[in-house]
Amino acid sequence: MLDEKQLITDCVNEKREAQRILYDRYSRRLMAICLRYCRTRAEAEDVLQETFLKIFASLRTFRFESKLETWMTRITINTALNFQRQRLYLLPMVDVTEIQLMEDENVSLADFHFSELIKIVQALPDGCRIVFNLFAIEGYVHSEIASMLNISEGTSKSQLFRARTLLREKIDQASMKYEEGKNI
Amino acid sequence: MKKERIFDKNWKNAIDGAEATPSPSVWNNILRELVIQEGNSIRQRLTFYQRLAVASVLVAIILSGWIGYRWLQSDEVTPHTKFATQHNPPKPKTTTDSIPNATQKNLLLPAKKDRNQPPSSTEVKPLSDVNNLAKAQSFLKNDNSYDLTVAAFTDKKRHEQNEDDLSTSEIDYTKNLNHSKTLEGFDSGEYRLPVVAITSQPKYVEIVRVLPAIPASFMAPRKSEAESEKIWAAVTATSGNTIASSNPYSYTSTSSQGNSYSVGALGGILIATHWVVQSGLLYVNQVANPFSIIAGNNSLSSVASYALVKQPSTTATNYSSAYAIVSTNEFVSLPVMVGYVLTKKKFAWQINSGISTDLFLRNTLTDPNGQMQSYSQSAGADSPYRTTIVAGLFNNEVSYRLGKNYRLAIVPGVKYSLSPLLKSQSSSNLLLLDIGFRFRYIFR
Repeated sequence: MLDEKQLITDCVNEKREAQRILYDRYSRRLMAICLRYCRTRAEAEDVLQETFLKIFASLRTFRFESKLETWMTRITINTALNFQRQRLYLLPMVDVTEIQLMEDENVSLADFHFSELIKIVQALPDGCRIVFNLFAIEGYVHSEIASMLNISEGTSKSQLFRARTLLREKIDQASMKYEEGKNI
Repeated sequence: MKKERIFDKNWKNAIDGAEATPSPSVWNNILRELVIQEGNSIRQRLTFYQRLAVASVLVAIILSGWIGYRWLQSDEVTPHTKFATQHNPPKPKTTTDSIPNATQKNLLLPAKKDRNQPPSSTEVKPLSDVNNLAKAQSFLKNDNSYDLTVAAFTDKKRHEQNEDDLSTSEIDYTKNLNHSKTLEGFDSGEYRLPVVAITSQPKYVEIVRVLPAIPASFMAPRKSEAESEKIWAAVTATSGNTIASSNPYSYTSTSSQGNSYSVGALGGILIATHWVVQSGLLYVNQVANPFSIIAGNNSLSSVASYALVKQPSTTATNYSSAYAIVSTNEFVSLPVMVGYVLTKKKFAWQINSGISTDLFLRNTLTDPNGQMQSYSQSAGADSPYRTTIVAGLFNNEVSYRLGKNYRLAIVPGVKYSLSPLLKSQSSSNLLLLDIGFRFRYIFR
């Protein structure tokens, strides 16, 4: 098994076998990220393809200052954001009224399969989905998200609240269906 | 707030770090794109090396032509000498110095039907028949025995006697008859080669140079023609490759390559025998295909560049992953060059050197994928681009004269900008290697 440094060197030298190994090693992880940011699987695959092309083109600039996976994840997120920018521009995000979550917050997601959760996330409006991913999953703060998406912090916050509400609703619905199916 | 964090954390735990298998078509598409990109890269490299090879071959041809020309000029027999030799054949520097004048004047002696009889002046024919002489020359080259029916004057006393009385001299015409050969097609009955006593290596070359093979008018340089191209106007078009020492569109890439072309008009004047001055007006278009890591300006849809980030008034640019952009710079260029004319015949070779003042028109950034809008930036006080860029020029102009008034030239050259394009940069000078054509009209 090739170590990471050797793998990168071979990829930089455009060795096809090494590129394939790198793809096999990280494509599933990056595909999951793409699915979170995109509305459909086809769109996610387009983003993944674009991501790997950028990775192969920019690998020579990788300085080993961070983990390769972290670096690749950042490229994936940026590619996904670029992919969504046109849509975000055409359908600008607007502020929504802040909604507090209900009392029963401690929803367990352990009963849900990843594919079900992804479908729920993909069903969110574009702005909500991206802000929720950046804030809740990637760990960016609102000021960073505002800067990245060229929106105000208030818009970022309201989109996040809306995302949480919608997710909650969809989880509840899915839970009810699950319970009903169980009882039958 | 705490509940919200728990909600987010639950989601993070549930979906972060998960994996999903992409369809096999993704890798196939990636592979296809990689092959296309590598093909483009190889094609660009090939184009550059092809141009380099053509330029090298041209330089080699020109150099060899120039060396050949200089070698011919340095030959001891100049065209003037040839011309003079043609009309006044030199005396052979062998023992023929002692040949009587009467014999020398008559280059060919009449053939003796009775070889014991001396030639009479009435039978002497001048060397006017070029065909016969050429045949003789050819024969001489093929036979080292020199045993033509040539009478040998080896005895100086006999020469003296012959001088006194040619008709009564006792020249031994039969001396070499044993070795005599008849030149095929050469009428040996009527003509004889010059009476030469060959005691050392013959100098055939002297005979060759006597031949009026080239009209004298061609041998003598026509000075007026060489210097008649005093003023001219030309249209020019060039194409080449640009190399920037750093990439003005990205923080990550260290260099940027691209293509360039220019079209325009030039005028020139001969200020001294070998010196010319040229100037004109050119439109220059430089295209680079770098990667940018900056996206969006005031709207999220525009391509942005490093230049915009460096612009103090810009606040709304974001960093993104590297993505390809097409950057096009347009200039109006005012070159001023001094040229040295190495040779100016049918083919001419001229070396030019000078400076060019490039006036920046605009920079246009385009997303080749068409997902983002193009962004243009012109010159001005608020622009991150310099209004004026000074560049050094050096090129070779190899031309061929077409008719009386035209010249078509091929011009390989180098251009190096002495100042960077961006105001914020102190280095990143652009190097341009190009090759072009010039079509020149000569005013006479």
